[in-house]
Amino acid sequence: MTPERFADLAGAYGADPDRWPAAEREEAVSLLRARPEQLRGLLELEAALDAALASWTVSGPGAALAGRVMAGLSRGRSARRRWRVFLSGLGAALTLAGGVAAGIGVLALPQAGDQATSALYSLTVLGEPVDEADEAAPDGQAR
Amino acid sequence: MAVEKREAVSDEDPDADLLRRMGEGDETASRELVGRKLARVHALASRMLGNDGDAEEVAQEALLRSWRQAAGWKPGRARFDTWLHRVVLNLCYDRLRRRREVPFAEPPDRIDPAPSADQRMAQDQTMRRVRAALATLPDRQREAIMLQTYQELSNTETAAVLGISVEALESLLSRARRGLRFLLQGAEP
Repeated sequence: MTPERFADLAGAYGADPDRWPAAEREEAVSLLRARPEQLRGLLELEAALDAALASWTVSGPGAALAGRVMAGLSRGRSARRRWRVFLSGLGAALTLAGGVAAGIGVLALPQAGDQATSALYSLTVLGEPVDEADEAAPDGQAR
Repeated sequence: MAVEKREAVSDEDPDADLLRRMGEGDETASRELVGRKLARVHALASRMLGNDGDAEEVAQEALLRSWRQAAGWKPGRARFDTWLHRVVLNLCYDRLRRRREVPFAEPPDRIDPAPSADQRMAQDQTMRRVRAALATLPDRQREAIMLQTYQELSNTETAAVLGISVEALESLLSRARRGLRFLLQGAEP
Protein backbone atom coordinates (compact mmCIF):
# COMPACT_ATOMS: atom_id res chain seq x y z
CA MET A 1 0.00 0.00 0.00
CA THR A 2 1.45 3.34 -1.07
CA PRO A 3 0.28 6.80 -0.05
CA GLU A 4 -0.84 7.31 -3.63
CA ARG A 5 -3.07 4.21 -3.54
CA PHE A 6 -4.36 5.32 -0.13
CA ALA A 7 -5.34 8.66 -1.66
CA ASP A 8 -7.02 6.87 -4.57
CA LEU A 9 -9.08 4.76 -2.18
CA ALA A 10 -10.13 7.72 -0.05
CA GLY A 11 -10.96 9.73 -3.16
CA ALA A 12 -13.19 6.99 -4.53
CA TYR A 13 -14.81 5.47 -1.46
CA GLY A 14 -14.66 8.20 1.15
CA ALA A 15 -13.04 8.45 4.55
CA ASP A 16 -14.41 5.33 6.20
CA PRO A 17 -12.05 2.37 5.64
CA ASP A 18 -15.00 0.03 6.25
CA ARG A 19 -16.28 1.16 2.86
CA TRP A 20 -12.99 0.37 1.13
CA PRO A 21 -12.27 -2.87 -0.76
CA ALA A 22 -11.83 -5.61 1.79
CA ALA A 23 -8.59 -6.86 0.25
CA GLU A 24 -6.86 -3.52 0.79
CA ARG A 25 -8.44 -2.35 4.01
CA GLU A 26 -5.97 -3.78 6.51
CA GLU A 27 -2.92 -2.45 4.67
CA ALA A 28 -4.53 0.96 4.35
CA VAL A 29 -5.27 1.18 8.06
CA SER A 30 -1.71 0.10 8.85
CA LEU A 31 -0.34 2.80 6.58
CA LEU A 32 -2.57 5.40 8.25
CA ARG A 33 -1.25 4.39 11.66
CA ALA A 34 2.33 4.63 10.35
CA ARG A 35 1.89 8.03 8.66
CA PRO A 36 -0.94 9.88 10.39
CA GLU A 37 0.35 13.39 9.68
CA GLN A 38 0.61 12.70 5.98
CA LEU A 39 -2.75 11.00 5.54
CA ARG A 40 -5.15 12.33 8.18
CA GLY A 41 -5.73 15.63 6.41
CA LEU A 42 -6.76 13.77 3.29
CA LEU A 43 -9.26 11.72 5.26
CA GLU A 44 -10.71 14.83 6.88
CA LEU A 45 -11.38 16.32 3.48
CA GLU A 46 -13.24 13.19 2.37
CA ALA A 47 -15.04 12.94 5.71
CA ALA A 48 -16.54 16.40 5.19
CA LEU A 49 -18.00 15.29 1.86
CA ASP A 50 -19.22 12.03 3.42
CA ALA A 51 -21.06 14.02 6.08
CA ALA A 52 -22.68 16.27 3.49
CA LEU A 53 -23.81 13.27 1.45
CA ALA A 54 -25.14 11.58 4.58
CA SER A 55 -27.37 14.60 5.26
CA TRP A 56 -29.63 13.44 2.45
CA THR A 57 -31.93 11.02 4.20
CA VAL A 58 -35.11 9.54 2.82
CA SER A 59 -38.02 8.06 4.67
CA GLY A 60 -38.71 4.37 4.50
CA PRO A 61 -41.65 2.96 2.58
CA GLY A 62 -45.09 3.70 3.96
CA ALA A 63 -46.62 1.04 6.17
CA ALA A 64 -49.18 0.06 3.55
CA LEU A 65 -46.70 -0.56 0.74
CA ALA A 66 -45.60 -4.00 1.90
CA GLY A 67 -49.24 -5.05 2.00
CA ARG A 68 -49.86 -3.74 -1.52
CA VAL A 69 -46.79 -5.57 -2.83
CA MET A 70 -47.91 -8.84 -1.22
CA ALA A 71 -51.41 -8.35 -2.61
CA GLY A 72 -49.92 -7.89 -6.08
CA LEU A 73 -47.81 -11.02 -5.74
CA SER A 74 -50.83 -12.93 -4.49
CA ARG A 75 -52.90 -11.85 -7.51
CA GLY A 76 -50.07 -12.99 -9.73
CA ARG A 77 -49.93 -16.39 -8.04
CA SER A 78 -53.71 -16.86 -8.39
CA ALA A 79 -53.64 -15.86 -12.03
CA ARG A 80 -50.74 -18.21 -12.70
CA ARG A 81 -52.62 -21.10 -11.07
CA ARG A 82 -55.71 -20.39 -13.18
CA TRP A 83 -53.53 -20.19 -16.28
CA ARG A 84 -51.86 -23.50 -15.48
CA VAL A 85 -55.27 -25.17 -15.06
CA PHE A 86 -56.40 -23.63 -18.35
CA LEU A 87 -53.30 -24.90 -20.16
CA SER A 88 -53.76 -28.40 -18.78
CA GLY A 89 -57.39 -28.39 -19.84
CA LEU A 90 -56.56 -27.01 -23.27
CA GLY A 91 -53.86 -29.61 -23.80
CA ALA A 92 -56.21 -32.43 -22.89
CA ALA A 93 -59.00 -31.07 -25.09
CA LEU A 94 -56.76 -30.71 -28.09
CA THR A 95 -55.33 -34.15 -27.64
CA LEU A 96 -58.82 -35.56 -27.63
CA ALA A 97 -59.88 -33.49 -30.63
CA GLY A 98 -56.87 -34.53 -32.66
CA GLY A 99 -54.66 -31.50 -32.39
CA VAL A 100 -52.58 -32.24 -35.47
CA ALA A 101 -55.63 -32.48 -37.72
CA ALA A 102 -56.85 -29.12 -36.36
CA GLY A 103 -53.61 -27.55 -37.41
CA ILE A 104 -52.27 -27.05 -33.92
CA GLY A 105 -49.09 -28.84 -32.96
CA VAL A 106 -49.88 -30.44 -29.62
CA LEU A 107 -46.19 -30.98 -29.09
CA ALA A 108 -45.71 -27.22 -29.48
CA LEU A 109 -47.81 -26.50 -26.40
CA PRO A 110 -45.79 -25.93 -23.27
CA GLN A 111 -45.87 -28.46 -20.51
CA ALA A 112 -47.55 -27.28 -17.35
CA GLY A 113 -44.30 -26.98 -15.50
CA ASP A 114 -43.35 -23.89 -13.61
CA GLN A 115 -40.68 -22.54 -15.92
CA ALA A 116 -42.52 -23.04 -19.19
CA THR A 117 -45.79 -21.89 -17.62
CA SER A 118 -44.15 -18.79 -16.29
CA ALA A 119 -42.73 -17.94 -19.70
CA LEU A 120 -45.99 -18.45 -21.54
CA TYR A 121 -47.92 -16.75 -18.76
CA SER A 122 -45.68 -13.74 -19.04
CA LEU A 123 -45.98 -13.66 -22.82
CA THR A 124 -49.73 -13.70 -22.90
CA VAL A 125 -51.35 -12.69 -19.63
CA LEU A 126 -48.99 -10.13 -18.23
CA GLY A 127 -48.31 -8.80 -21.67
CA GLU A 128 -44.82 -7.48 -21.05
CA PRO A 129 -42.44 -10.37 -20.83
CA VAL A 130 -39.15 -8.93 -21.85
CA ASP A 131 -38.64 -5.26 -21.71
CA GLU A 132 -35.77 -2.93 -21.40
CA ALA A 133 -35.46 -3.38 -17.65
CA ASP A 134 -35.40 -7.16 -17.82
CA GLU A 135 -33.13 -7.18 -20.86
CA ALA A 136 -30.64 -5.18 -18.86
CA ALA A 137 -30.14 -8.16 -16.57
CA PRO A 138 -26.57 -9.36 -16.27
CA ASP A 139 -25.41 -12.25 -18.44
CA GLY A 140 -26.71 -15.64 -17.66
CA GLN A 141 -29.92 -14.60 -16.01
CA ALA A 142 -33.41 -15.53 -17.01
CA ARG A 143 -35.14 -13.04 -19.16
CA MET B 1 -22.80 -32.41 -9.16
CA ALA B 2 -25.92 -30.25 -9.60
CA VAL B 3 -26.46 -30.17 -5.84
CA GLU B 4 -22.84 -29.14 -5.23
CA LYS B 5 -23.20 -26.41 -7.82
CA ARG B 6 -26.38 -25.14 -6.18
CA GLU B 7 -24.74 -25.08 -2.78
CA ALA B 8 -21.74 -23.24 -4.19
CA VAL B 9 -24.00 -20.67 -5.82
CA SER B 10 -26.00 -20.29 -2.59
CA ASP B 11 -22.75 -19.39 -0.85
CA GLU B 12 -22.09 -16.68 -3.42
CA ASP B 13 -25.61 -15.32 -3.80
CA PRO B 14 -27.49 -14.97 -0.51
CA ASP B 15 -30.78 -14.71 -2.42
CA ALA B 16 -30.41 -17.87 -4.50
CA ASP B 17 -32.31 -20.13 -2.12
CA LEU B 18 -35.04 -17.55 -1.65
CA LEU B 19 -35.55 -17.34 -5.40
CA ARG B 20 -35.68 -21.09 -5.72
CA ARG B 21 -38.39 -21.26 -3.06
CA MET B 22 -40.33 -18.45 -4.69
CA GLY B 23 -40.14 -20.26 -8.00
CA GLU B 24 -41.65 -23.29 -6.30
CA GLY B 25 -44.60 -21.21 -5.16
CA ASP B 26 -43.56 -20.78 -1.54
CA GLU B 27 -45.62 -17.84 -0.27
CA THR B 28 -43.45 -17.30 2.79
CA ALA B 29 -40.53 -16.82 0.43
CA SER B 30 -42.41 -13.98 -1.28
CA ARG B 31 -42.99 -12.36 2.09
CA GLU B 32 -39.32 -12.77 2.87
CA LEU B 33 -38.39 -11.11 -0.42
CA VAL B 34 -40.49 -8.10 0.47
CA GLY B 35 -38.94 -7.96 3.93
CA ARG B 36 -35.40 -8.18 2.56
CA LYS B 37 -35.62 -5.87 -0.41
CA LEU B 38 -38.50 -3.40 -0.16
CA ALA B 39 -36.83 -0.72 1.98
CA ARG B 40 -33.63 -0.71 -0.07
CA VAL B 41 -35.42 -0.67 -3.38
CA HIS B 42 -37.67 2.12 -2.15
CA ALA B 43 -34.67 4.15 -0.92
CA LEU B 44 -32.94 4.01 -4.30
CA ALA B 45 -36.11 4.90 -6.18
CA SER B 46 -36.88 7.68 -3.72
CA ARG B 47 -33.51 9.32 -4.29
CA MET B 48 -33.64 8.85 -8.04
CA LEU B 49 -37.18 10.18 -8.42
CA GLY B 50 -37.54 12.64 -5.53
CA ASN B 51 -41.15 11.63 -5.11
CA ASP B 52 -42.56 9.19 -2.60
CA GLY B 53 -45.53 8.10 -4.68
CA ASP B 54 -43.43 7.31 -7.74
CA ALA B 55 -40.84 5.57 -5.59
CA GLU B 56 -43.50 3.29 -4.11
CA GLU B 57 -44.80 2.37 -7.56
CA VAL B 58 -41.31 1.60 -8.83
CA ALA B 59 -40.57 -0.49 -5.74
CA GLN B 60 -43.78 -2.45 -6.21
CA GLU B 61 -43.08 -3.04 -9.91
CA ALA B 62 -39.50 -4.12 -9.25
CA LEU B 63 -40.55 -6.72 -6.69
CA LEU B 64 -43.33 -7.99 -8.94
CA ARG B 65 -40.76 -8.48 -11.69
CA SER B 66 -38.56 -10.31 -9.19
CA TRP B 67 -41.36 -12.73 -8.48
CA ARG B 68 -41.93 -13.27 -12.21
CA GLN B 69 -38.27 -14.02 -12.73
CA ALA B 70 -37.95 -16.39 -9.80
CA ALA B 71 -39.27 -19.53 -11.49
CA GLY B 72 -36.80 -19.23 -14.34
CA TRP B 73 -33.88 -17.75 -12.44
CA LYS B 74 -30.62 -19.40 -13.34
CA PRO B 75 -27.87 -18.88 -10.78
CA GLY B 76 -24.93 -17.52 -12.66
CA ARG B 77 -22.13 -15.08 -12.28
CA ALA B 78 -24.37 -12.20 -11.28
CA ARG B 79 -26.26 -11.89 -8.03
CA PHE B 80 -29.99 -11.36 -7.88
CA ASP B 81 -29.41 -8.12 -5.95
CA THR B 82 -27.30 -6.84 -8.83
CA TRP B 83 -30.14 -7.55 -11.26
CA LEU B 84 -32.69 -5.99 -8.94
CA HIS B 85 -30.73 -2.74 -8.59
CA ARG B 86 -30.40 -2.50 -12.36
CA VAL B 87 -34.16 -3.04 -12.79
CA VAL B 88 -34.90 -0.28 -10.28
CA LEU B 89 -32.55 2.14 -12.04
CA ASN B 90 -34.11 1.36 -15.41
CA LEU B 91 -37.64 1.77 -14.07
CA CYS B 92 -36.64 5.11 -12.58
CA TYR B 93 -35.18 6.31 -15.88
CA ASP B 94 -38.39 5.22 -17.65
CA ARG B 95 -40.38 7.39 -15.23
CA LEU B 96 -38.05 10.32 -15.59
CA ARG B 97 -38.26 10.17 -19.37
CA ARG B 98 -42.07 10.08 -19.20
CA ARG B 99 -42.07 12.90 -16.72
CA ARG B 100 -39.64 14.97 -18.81
CA GLU B 101 -38.49 16.80 -15.77
CA VAL B 102 -35.06 17.40 -14.38
CA PRO B 103 -34.33 14.74 -11.78
CA PHE B 104 -34.47 15.85 -8.18
CA ALA B 105 -36.23 19.08 -9.09
CA GLU B 106 -38.78 18.56 -6.33
CA PRO B 107 -38.06 19.39 -2.75
CA PRO B 108 -37.53 16.48 -0.38
CA ASP B 109 -40.80 15.02 0.83
CA ARG B 110 -39.69 14.61 4.39
CA ILE B 111 -36.72 15.61 6.46
CA ASP B 112 -35.56 14.14 9.69
CA PRO B 113 -36.95 15.87 12.75
CA ALA B 114 -34.44 18.10 14.51
CA PRO B 115 -34.56 19.79 17.89
CA SER B 116 -34.86 23.32 16.51
CA ALA B 117 -36.22 25.19 13.53
CA ASP B 118 -32.73 26.55 12.75
CA GLN B 119 -31.24 23.07 12.66
CA ARG B 120 -34.06 21.85 10.46
CA MET B 121 -33.47 24.73 8.06
CA ALA B 122 -29.72 24.09 7.96
CA GLN B 123 -30.24 20.38 7.38
CA ASP B 124 -32.82 21.08 4.71
CA GLN B 125 -30.48 23.52 2.99
CA THR B 126 -27.60 21.04 2.94
CA MET B 127 -29.88 18.31 1.69
CA ARG B 128 -31.15 20.54 -1.13
CA ARG B 129 -27.62 21.42 -2.12
CA VAL B 130 -26.59 17.76 -2.13
CA ARG B 131 -29.60 16.83 -4.25
CA ALA B 132 -28.92 19.69 -6.65
CA ALA B 133 -25.22 18.82 -6.88
CA LEU B 134 -25.98 15.16 -7.59
CA ALA B 135 -28.46 16.21 -10.27
CA THR B 136 -25.70 17.97 -12.19
CA LEU B 137 -23.48 14.90 -12.35
CA PRO B 138 -23.41 12.76 -15.47
CA ASP B 139 -25.79 9.80 -15.14
CA ARG B 140 -23.09 7.19 -14.65
CA GLN B 141 -21.33 9.18 -11.93
CA ARG B 142 -24.63 9.76 -10.13
CA GLU B 143 -25.48 6.06 -10.34
CA ALA B 144 -22.08 5.14 -8.93
CA ILE B 145 -22.59 7.45 -5.94
CA MET B 146 -26.17 6.25 -5.40
CA LEU B 147 -25.19 2.61 -5.39
CA GLN B 148 -21.92 2.79 -3.47
CA THR B 149 -22.71 5.57 -1.00
CA TYR B 150 -26.45 5.30 -0.38
CA GLN B 151 -27.22 1.68 -1.21
CA GLU B 152 -23.93 0.64 0.43
CA LEU B 153 -23.14 -1.89 -2.24
CA SER B 154 -19.56 -3.15 -2.29
CA ASN B 155 -17.25 -2.04 -5.08
CA THR B 156 -17.67 -5.34 -6.92
CA GLU B 157 -21.47 -5.24 -6.57
CA THR B 158 -21.64 -1.63 -7.75
CA ALA B 159 -19.36 -2.37 -10.70
CA ALA B 160 -21.56 -5.34 -11.61
CA VAL B 161 -24.74 -3.25 -11.60
CA LEU B 162 -23.07 -0.69 -13.83
CA GLY B 163 -21.50 -3.34 -16.05
CA ILE B 164 -17.97 -1.99 -15.61
CA SER B 165 -14.71 -3.03 -14.00
CA VAL B 166 -13.83 -2.08 -10.44
CA GLU B 167 -11.05 0.13 -11.80
CA ALA B 168 -13.54 1.99 -13.97
CA LEU B 169 -15.88 2.32 -10.99
CA GLU B 170 -13.14 3.90 -8.87
CA SER B 171 -12.49 6.39 -11.63
CA LEU B 172 -16.23 7.23 -11.80
CA LEU B 173 -16.49 7.62 -8.05
CA SER B 174 -13.38 9.79 -7.84
CA ARG B 175 -14.63 12.13 -10.54
CA ALA B 176 -18.07 12.23 -8.97
CA ARG B 177 -16.71 13.07 -5.54
CA ARG B 178 -14.38 15.76 -6.91
CA GLY B 179 -17.32 17.33 -8.72
CA LEU B 180 -19.52 17.17 -5.66
CA ARG B 181 -16.86 18.65 -3.42
CA PHE B 182 -16.45 21.57 -5.78
CA LEU B 183 -20.21 22.17 -5.96
CA LEU B 184 -20.74 21.83 -2.23
CA GLN B 185 -17.91 24.09 -1.11
CA GLY B 186 -19.22 25.92 1.87
CA ALA B 187 -22.06 23.46 2.57
CA GLU B 188 -22.07 22.36 6.16
CA PRO B 189 -23.49 19.06 7.28
